[in-house]
Amino acid sequence: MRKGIATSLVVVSAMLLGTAANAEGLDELPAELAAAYEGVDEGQPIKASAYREWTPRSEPPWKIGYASSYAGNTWRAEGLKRLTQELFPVYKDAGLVEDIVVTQSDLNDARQIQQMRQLVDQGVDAIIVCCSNPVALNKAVEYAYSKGVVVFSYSGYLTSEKALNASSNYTLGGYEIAKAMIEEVGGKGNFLLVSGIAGAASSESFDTGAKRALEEFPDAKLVGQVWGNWTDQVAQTEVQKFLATNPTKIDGIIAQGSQETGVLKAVLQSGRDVMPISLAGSAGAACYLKNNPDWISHAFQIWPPGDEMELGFNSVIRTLQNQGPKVQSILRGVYRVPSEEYVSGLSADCSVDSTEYIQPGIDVWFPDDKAAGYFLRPSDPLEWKAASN
Amino acid sequence: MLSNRLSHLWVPLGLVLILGIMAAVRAPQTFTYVGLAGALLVAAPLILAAVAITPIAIAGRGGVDLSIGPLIGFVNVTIVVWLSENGITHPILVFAYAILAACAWQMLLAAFIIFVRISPIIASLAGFMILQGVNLVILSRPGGVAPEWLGNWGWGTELLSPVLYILLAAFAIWFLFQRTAMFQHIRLMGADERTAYTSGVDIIKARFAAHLMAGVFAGLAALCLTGLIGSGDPTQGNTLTLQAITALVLGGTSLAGGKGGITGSVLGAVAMYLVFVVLSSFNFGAISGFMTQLLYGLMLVFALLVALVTTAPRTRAA
Repeated sequence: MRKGIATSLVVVSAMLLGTAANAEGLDELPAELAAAYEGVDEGQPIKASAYREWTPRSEPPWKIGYASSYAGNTWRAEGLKRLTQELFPVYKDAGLVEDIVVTQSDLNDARQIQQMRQLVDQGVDAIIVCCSNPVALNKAVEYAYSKGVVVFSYSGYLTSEKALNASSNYTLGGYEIAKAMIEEVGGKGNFLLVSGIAGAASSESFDTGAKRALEEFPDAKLVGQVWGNWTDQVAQTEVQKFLATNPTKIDGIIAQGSQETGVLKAVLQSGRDVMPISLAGSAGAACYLKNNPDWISHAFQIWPPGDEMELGFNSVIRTLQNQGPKVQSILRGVYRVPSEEYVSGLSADCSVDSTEYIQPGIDVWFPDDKAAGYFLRPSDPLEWKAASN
Repeated sequence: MLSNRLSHLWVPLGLVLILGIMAAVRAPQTFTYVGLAGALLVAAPLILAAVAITPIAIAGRGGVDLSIGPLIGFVNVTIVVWLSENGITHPILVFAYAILAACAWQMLLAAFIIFVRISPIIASLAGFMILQGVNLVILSRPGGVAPEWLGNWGWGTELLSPVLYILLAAFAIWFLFQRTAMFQHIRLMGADERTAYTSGVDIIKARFAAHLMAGVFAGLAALCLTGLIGSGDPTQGNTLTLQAITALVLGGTSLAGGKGGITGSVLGAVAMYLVFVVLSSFNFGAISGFMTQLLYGLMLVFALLVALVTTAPRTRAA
């Protein structure tokens, strides 16, 4: 254990030293926060942010645009709900946000580019985007920057130097979730990987980390990979097809979050004994765990939808308040939780059909004291106005 | 005679006018210099994709090229992975590659349709699936960087841009092509293949020609898409298939063949662009996802109904 910690510290230190030359903002982070950048996706920009001394084009209350790329699954719906029904009223009352304009592009980059440019022209002060092609929006980001508008990508990243990003380190998350699953079943066996959307950056980042963990266990074999599109119904169908056509014994299923309920249902329908399945926030599968406490010993939080949105929104407001983000990407580690604690909030009559999410809450996901470490001039965003007046 | 030939354009033209007025009221910045430059940039891949499938639809046999989206995606990812990453970035080489690669695919598709006698829609559906997989093998996730000159098209702040010149070149190519005997052969074949054959039309050559034209326009569409996103994206092209077909039908081109032209397809694509400009100017809040899709679908269904009703052949009274 100590050896592992020491190795991690050496890796983090080496990474920090190695990237210091091209990441002047990263070495300003407290060591605890910098650790979350370990093994980061090679495409994720972690240089000093372009917004260290930036001020927006207008005074509060600000108008925020949300150029959503998709609205077709429960994860997106939960994030949108947090933004429009919980965050907006609070920040409006605080006199910080005047309006939130939401557009949808249905996974069409061209449409999202058009909508971002339109939002800029309609007078928004900041644009939030999620989980898009990391390069495609770059010119739209620079168009926004030239007009004094900041673009913030949550739960994913953009490579433009003028973009800011906030999310978990998904590569690290994939690694830790896969490693925990392999260790859960004794360090060996056959594993199925249930990915998100083929070609989506977050999904590929996760898989990169998961495959890295699999390589560390010579007796752990990846016998298949299916894509569940982060949607329970799709994941259920794909896993059903795999189990029906592959009689191989599966010892564990490494699944990206937001689809494990569908994966569980497929296994139940197959008639096989329910092997451990990675749990990452879906309340349906968590309910099964509550009723079968010996099933798996742990769960993870990697992209809780509402908390990820709030992390992004909180960071946007701080940036508009000239708090000065230090680095281009605000990254946090994944959150591991013992199974008893994970299911403690579920009622006894919970349902495996639930489409709700178990979320750690913003106080755990992005608490003020940690958030402050990512900014040069930190202050509580809701109290900032009072302080400046 | 002329008014009869252009009758299928009234609906898309009316639609563009109505949506244009709505956009001018709701989002007036669309009609500024920079707004128009951005519109041109964003709409160009769809316009050219719709143009690309037009000659195949005119050629008949229910020829809807479902593979057009992944084909554009294929050229996009290969420009980034095979050319750009290996230092092959000269504009002439990239242009030549894009057009030749798309034409080669269309020739292959045409050969299957003609010689293996597979229905065009089945052949292109198979092509859709094959290219979808191939694109992900070549580039597993969005990324890479387009050649610098091509990526710079993405700024979209100048109206007199390469994207405009490409669109003008595409129109010029089409209007020259329209004046050839081969185009008349394609139309005749599309209207009635048996009659065309018995009239001496070389239907094999005509079908190859229709696909060759599609390849040229698909290559240009891929260049515009690559310029727009400045990178490679293995899945982005896929979304263009249904949009291009919708634009085609909105534009009055008959899927039964023998009728239509690129003017209608262009108007259809512009109408689809304007629909989203108008919808994006409203703030539907938390229900935006559903409202946008619902209204988008309703507007398209309405437009298609009007197009079908107004262009349906009238039966002569006894």
